[in-house]
Amino acid sequence: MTLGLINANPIVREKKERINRAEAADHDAIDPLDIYDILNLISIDLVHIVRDIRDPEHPYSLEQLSVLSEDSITVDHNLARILITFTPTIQHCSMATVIGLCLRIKLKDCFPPHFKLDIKVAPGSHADEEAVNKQLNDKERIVAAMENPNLRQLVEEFDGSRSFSFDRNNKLSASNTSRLASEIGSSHSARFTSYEKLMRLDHHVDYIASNNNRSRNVTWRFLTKIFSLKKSSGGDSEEKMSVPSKSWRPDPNSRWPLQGW
Amino acid sequence: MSLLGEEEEALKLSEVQTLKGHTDRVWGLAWNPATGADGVPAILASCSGDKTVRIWQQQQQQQQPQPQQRSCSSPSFHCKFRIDAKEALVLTLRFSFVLITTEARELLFGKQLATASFDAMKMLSLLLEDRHDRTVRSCAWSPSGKQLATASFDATTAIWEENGSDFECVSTLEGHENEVKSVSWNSSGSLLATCSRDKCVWIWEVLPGNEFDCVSVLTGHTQDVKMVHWHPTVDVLFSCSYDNTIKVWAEDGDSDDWHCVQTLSESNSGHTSTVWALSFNVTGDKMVTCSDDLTVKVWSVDIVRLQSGDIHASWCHLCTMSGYHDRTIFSVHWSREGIIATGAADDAIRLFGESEDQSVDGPAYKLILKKEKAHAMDINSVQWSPTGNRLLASASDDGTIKIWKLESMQGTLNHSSPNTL
Repeated sequence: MTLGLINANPIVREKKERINRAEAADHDAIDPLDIYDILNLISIDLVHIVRDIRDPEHPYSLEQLSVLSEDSITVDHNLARILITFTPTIQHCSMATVIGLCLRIKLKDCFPPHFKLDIKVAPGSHADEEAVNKQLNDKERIVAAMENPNLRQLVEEFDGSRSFSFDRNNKLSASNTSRLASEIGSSHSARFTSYEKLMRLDHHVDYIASNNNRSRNVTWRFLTKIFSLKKSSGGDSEEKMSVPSKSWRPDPNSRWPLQGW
Repeated sequence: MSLLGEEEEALKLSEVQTLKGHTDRVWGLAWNPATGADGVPAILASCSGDKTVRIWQQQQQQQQPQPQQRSCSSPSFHCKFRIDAKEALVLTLRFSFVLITTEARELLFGKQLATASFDAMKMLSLLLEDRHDRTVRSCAWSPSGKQLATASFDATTAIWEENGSDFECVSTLEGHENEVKSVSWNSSGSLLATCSRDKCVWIWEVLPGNEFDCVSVLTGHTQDVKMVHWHPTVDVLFSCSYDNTIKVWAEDGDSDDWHCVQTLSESNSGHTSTVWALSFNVTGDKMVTCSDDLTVKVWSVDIVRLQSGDIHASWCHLCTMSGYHDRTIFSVHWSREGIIATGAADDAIRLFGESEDQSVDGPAYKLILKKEKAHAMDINSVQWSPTGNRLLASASDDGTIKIWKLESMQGTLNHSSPNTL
């Protein structure tokens, strides 16, 4: 299990100069390059999806990370179908489903409603290709995911105008670094081993009043204690850490992206 | 009555009416089983992503009697009018604002209003929509027609009962961990089943005084359960899931010990992708299922054995209809007459019927009719009317519900055209 970033060393390509295409004869036709341009504006910071670190590490566009290319988008006007294939940067990318969801939501208003959009990972690019593709194209799951306020907030952050980042409270102490490392380890493993518990936590977030923040922190503290690799400074700093729930940014203590939405 | 008769008559699906009112995709439909015949106007419930449930009532229009032709009524639907003390004020205001657009009305009254089309007098209806916080995915009437269960992505199921001219929520069933996808009443109305993305199926017992007790939580599916449906004659429950299987659940004796008696998976000629819906024929000896794998499958059981109490009577695959659909099939429904209707993500409705050429292996099914572009977007639900009048309702992502009539091409016995409705 890798600690720290999911993909610490993404392969970054040069931004290609776009050769200007002649104006399309049919102005109503959907130009795959238009869709591509929209997607290219998404400044995605893969690291920030899973943890809250102040400085963005990889603020590269999807094109530069080879997640998307011009060939990724196919439009069939006769059948009114659009197919988008994207390539996650690593074979076991756990964020593939979230990326796919973001792409879909981003493109929702870019074509007439009768067009059908399919989003898939490029063949051979992901270890669970079939499962990811199935989830990415299950309409009911997509709608349910978007009604989940935390996931919705996450997805809505994928915007070219600002890079996706979490802010930490200014009250952080100097022991931040060590605490951060422990949280990275704990949260990472916690995510992989305690997914079911997280689902229940998330459920409680939605339906129980904020005075239950304490109980959530108790469970979270318990999990981090079990899995932390460095000694954290104890429960106190965790309590100071509780971000006010009114903040537009998701509470880092209790919400993690749900890959299995 | 044999569907195709001796000469195969060409059939068509004519649009009777479009019901507009929902402001988001319509997910599910349910015809009230106690209405539609013997002079009782048909009632249809629809549930939507706009978090509301709308109830539509058929309105009989008086026809001028004409000596040469049969007098008959042309069915038209309007959103059932409901009024209570609070809404009486709204009603008074409504008349003076009749020219204002729907959106403006919503702003003024702060509630969603539905206007029905085709009536000279616009009937408005207010629904008590403050019950569910998220999409209402499925609705089902109890066999008596007195109660309506609605399943929602907010993890609850609400039970509504008609109270005078209004519907009120008399009970809320909680317990699922996340989105509830489907709800179904058994044939006697004594049991209710719900299923959810939490992979569980819950069975509830209906007790007097609108009490609902959970009698069993059925685990076994490995993924999101999409739909549950009771067998039409025996208390055997069927569930279909994102894990590509259909599970059959039955009770051992009377002990509230429910368990899975059969799983129809890929290995027994089952589906190879998410199974979205299932439906039974009128006698209950056959079941049809539809899936994301673009096929529709028909299954059969020894009904005599099943009805005599043998819960282990097993279902076997009869027929697969493949090559007819090119996108996910979201809904399938078997009419009392034996016609299978499917609603798919390619905006089309298809009708299948038993084929006259019987193959050695058993009955085969063929495509009777394909209605392309039945809706502007994906069709989420198709439901035949429970009475034998060949009415089909379809619900779509475009927010509309359409009522169709299956009739022969030669000319209709009903002399109404869509414009006069």
